[in-house]
Amino acid sequence: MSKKKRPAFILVYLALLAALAATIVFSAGTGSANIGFIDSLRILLSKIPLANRLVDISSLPDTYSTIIFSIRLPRIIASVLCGTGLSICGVVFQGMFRNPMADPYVLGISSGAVLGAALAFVTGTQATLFNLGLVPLYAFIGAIAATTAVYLIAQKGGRLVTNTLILSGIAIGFLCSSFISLIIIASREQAHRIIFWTLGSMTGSSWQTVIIMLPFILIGSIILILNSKNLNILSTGDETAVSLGINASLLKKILLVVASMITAISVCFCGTIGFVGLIVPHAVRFLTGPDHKRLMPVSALAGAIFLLLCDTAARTLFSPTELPIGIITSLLGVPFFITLLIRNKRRALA
Amino acid sequence: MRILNVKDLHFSYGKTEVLKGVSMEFYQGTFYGIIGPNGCGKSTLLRNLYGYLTPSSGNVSIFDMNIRSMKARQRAKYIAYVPQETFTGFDFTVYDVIAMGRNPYHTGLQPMTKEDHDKIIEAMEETSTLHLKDKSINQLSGGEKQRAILARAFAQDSEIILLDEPVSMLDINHQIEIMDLAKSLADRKYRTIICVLHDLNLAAQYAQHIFLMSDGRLVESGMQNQVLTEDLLTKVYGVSVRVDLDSEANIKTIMPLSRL
Repeated sequence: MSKKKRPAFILVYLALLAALAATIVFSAGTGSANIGFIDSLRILLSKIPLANRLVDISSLPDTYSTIIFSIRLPRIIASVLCGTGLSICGVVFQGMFRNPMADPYVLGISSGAVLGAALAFVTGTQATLFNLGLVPLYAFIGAIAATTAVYLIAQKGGRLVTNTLILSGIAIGFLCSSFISLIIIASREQAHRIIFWTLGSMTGSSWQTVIIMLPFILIGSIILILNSKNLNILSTGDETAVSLGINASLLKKILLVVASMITAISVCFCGTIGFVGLIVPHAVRFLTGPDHKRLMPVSALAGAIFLLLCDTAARTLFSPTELPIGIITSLLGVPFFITLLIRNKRRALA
Repeated sequence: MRILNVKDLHFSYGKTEVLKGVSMEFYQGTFYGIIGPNGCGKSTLLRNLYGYLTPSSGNVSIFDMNIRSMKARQRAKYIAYVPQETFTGFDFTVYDVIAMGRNPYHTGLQPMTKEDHDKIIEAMEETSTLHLKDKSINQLSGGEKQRAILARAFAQDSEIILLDEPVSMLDINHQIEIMDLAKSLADRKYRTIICVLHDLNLAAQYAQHIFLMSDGRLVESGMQNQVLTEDLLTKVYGVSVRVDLDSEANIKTIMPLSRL
């Protein structure tokens, strides 16, 4: 809010946007068919109006273009969307619950989704929707059902009590986890798929999934970012927020519904990608301070870059074997975060 | 002029009725003290006054407008609130915290104006917090923190300021500092101060009008001579007290007596 000696923020945004663009080009050029950064850039530019006059890709094999536009780009966009969505939701949940341990899955969304997916696996349904298997639909229903249950348990006369909300989230989460364990024990042949799914993966991404994810995550993120100032005030407590003219009950419901939708849509296509929504907000807070007007957009960009890098690593490190992205997010993220934590110990504990 | 009217207010937490029909009137420019034993409903009453809690029956009105029919933002332009708990939250700067007091004057995304900034600086000057502007609110001492929260209420520029035991955690120097600030606001700017107090001596010293509550009801209301009497306090608090008059300041002093 105040104009202080923080870095000129427009530069931070520009730097992050440039970094995101570079990461996208890099990721599009990297993989078992190694296209390279420059050629990848040329191929991507060739599809952009105006810029396409500057590049000539006739010398490059057609397959390169196909690989980038049909296979890698949808996956890249899906990673960017998930990274953005999960990071923003992490910021929102940490702010509204005033709890640094909160992440997008705090209300049991992830275990609800995994339970839904596990049921889809074991019932072995072959039906499809929009040319997609029914797994995402089951997962989505599971996620929404779990969160709705958490909400109904915690609300009292339309009022939401934060601690009750977190506790019922934990309770419903454990309940779903027990059912998942039962399913894994009862159906060993599906255990591998279920476990892989709980660690998250971008493998299933296609233009179809991107088209479904995009409006939810884009519009949802915009709504959340527009509420940055309200979230600042809400993060100082319900009583204070009400006395400063915020309808805290209504605001919490809006944030809760929007953040849950974003999380659910990401979890149903990509599984539960741990760590991003918890750590990106904390790491960014070291840079921006707690003001959500900066924290939210910077987290969105940082989360997108981080998840895209992780996914690129997940599909290339042990190619052709794909690693679950959740493993990479922790392997890459933990050392980075611990370094930050040690360097900022005093601030982090304040 | 009457600014706030509380009429037959009832409120329950679940099945426990905490306020059992409280009626009060508040006039502009006056410093009110609300006293009473723990659990008598003082804080609950304040939370009903600024709309955080909804009464089960009865109503609260500002200039004859029922606060339930007002939007939160509109209500906040009339009533500011300094909570009992000290600030717990993220590492906002003191400036940022005080600037939140301007929230009722902006919808969503409107940026702060020069007027907002001036009000914030003015509030900081009045509370001697200007030098703390860029510090983290969590690094302040108890007294500084309370001054900053008071500055937020000043910046809110509301007719009524509610204070819930604003000085119970502070030493006597900082107690007087905070109470003087609140008092000067009533005197100089004709604001209405409604202050819940545990310390009866502070109530005697600062409040022009005292409400004594017990068990969800108003027991007595009036000037210190009428409310701060040995009989009444002994009956309500359940401990013997001696009330003297400090003839120099013409203020009552209250001393609870040991049972040993």
